[in-house]
Amino acid sequence: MSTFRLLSVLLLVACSGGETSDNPEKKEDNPPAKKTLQLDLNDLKGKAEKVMLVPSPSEMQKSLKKAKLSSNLSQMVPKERKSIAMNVENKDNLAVRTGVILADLVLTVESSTKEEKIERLEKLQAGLKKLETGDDIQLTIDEMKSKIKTGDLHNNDDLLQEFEELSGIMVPELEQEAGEWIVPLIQAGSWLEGANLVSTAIINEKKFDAASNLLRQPDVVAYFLSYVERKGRDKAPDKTVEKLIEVLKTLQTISAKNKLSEEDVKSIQKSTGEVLSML
Amino acid sequence: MKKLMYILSFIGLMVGGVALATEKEADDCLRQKIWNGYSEGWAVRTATTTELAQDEHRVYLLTLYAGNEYKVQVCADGSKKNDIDLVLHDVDGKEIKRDQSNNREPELVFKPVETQTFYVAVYAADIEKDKSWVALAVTYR
Repeated sequence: MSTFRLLSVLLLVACSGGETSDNPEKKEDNPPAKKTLQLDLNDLKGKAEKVMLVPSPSEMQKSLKKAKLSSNLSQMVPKERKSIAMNVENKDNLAVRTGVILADLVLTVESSTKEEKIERLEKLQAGLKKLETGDDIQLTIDEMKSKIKTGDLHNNDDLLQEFEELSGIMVPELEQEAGEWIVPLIQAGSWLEGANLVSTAIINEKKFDAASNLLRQPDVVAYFLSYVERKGRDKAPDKTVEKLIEVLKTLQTISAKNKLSEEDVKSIQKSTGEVLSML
Repeated sequence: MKKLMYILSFIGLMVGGVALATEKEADDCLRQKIWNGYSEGWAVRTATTTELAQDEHRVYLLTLYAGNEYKVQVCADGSKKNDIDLVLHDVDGKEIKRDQSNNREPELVFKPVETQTFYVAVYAADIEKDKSWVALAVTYR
C-alpha cells in the first residue's frame, strides 16, 4: 500500500512538472517579453540632437507643390545671388553665404547652365576652404566639377541626387576645425534662401492659408539663433551678422503664433530679403 | 595539430567578423537604401551615424512638412540578429508610431497632417556586441 502511495505521489509530481514553466521547450515558445523604450517629453527635450532638424531646400520646393502652389523656386532665385562673393573675413557671414550658394545649387539644377553649376561649385569650394572644413569635401566637389565638364554628369535627376547628397549628407558631416557652429550657419543660409523664396511664392499666388504649414518652424529659428548668438562668437563688427540676428528674432516672434497672417508672410519675405541682399 | 588549426581558423573568422562590423558597414547599407529610394521618388534630407550600446538610445529633433511623406531608415552593423527600434513622438511627447520589426534595419513611414516638430528615438533593443554602429536617414517624397 505504501509503495502504491509513493508511486502515486511520484506520478503526480512528474505530471505537474510538465505543466510548469521549467520545461525548456515551453520556454522557447514563450520568449521573454521584449524590452521597449518609453520616453516622456522631458527625456525627449533633454536629449534631442538637432542634426536632422532643418528641412532641405528641395524639400521646401516639394512641400510647396503639396500645398498646391504652382511656383517653381528654381525660376525664382534672383539673378543677383550669382554675384555673392566669398571674400569676407567674418566666418559667420561666410558660412551663411556658403549656405545660400548651396541652396541655389540644389534649387536651380534644372534651370542653370553647365557653366553656372560649375561657378556655384567653385564658390562653394572657396567658402568651405576658408571655413576649414577639410580636404574630403574639396575632393568630392572637384570630382563633381570634372564630371559636369566632361558631360559624365548631365542628367538632371543624377545631378539633383549628387547635390542633395552633398547638401544633406556631406555638409552635416563636415570637419569643423573652426567650431561646431559652421554647419548650423551653413544650414541657416540655405534655409533663409528657401524661406525667402517660399514667402515670395505665397505672396505672388496669394495663398496665405498655406503659410503656417510652409513657413512656421519655431524650433528651426531657435536653433539658428542659438548659434548666431553663441558665446565666444567672432566679435569683429559685421553688419550682416547683426542684421541676421535681428531677422531671426523677427522670425522667432512670428513663429510663436499658431497661424500666420498675410502680414506675417510679407514680414518674413521682407526681412529675409534684407539680410540676403547684404551678402 | 589539426584541432589547433581549426581553432585558429575559427578565431580568425571571429576577429574578421568583428573587424567587418564597422561604421562603414552601417553607412554603406544606408547609402544603398537611399540610392534605391530615388527610383521610388524618395529624396534625402540628411543622414547621420552614431554608436549605441545595449539599451542605449539617441533622440533627434525633426521638422516635418504637412503633405510630404517621410521615411526614417536605419542600418546597424554586425549580426543580423541585432534588433534596433525606432519610435516617433510628436512635439508634446506623445508616441505616434513605433516600428514593429525585430531586426537591425527598421524603418518608419509617416505623413504629417500639419507642419510640426517631431522627435525620433533610435534604440538598441538587442545587440550582440558591446556596441553597434547605427546609421540613420530621413528621406521624403
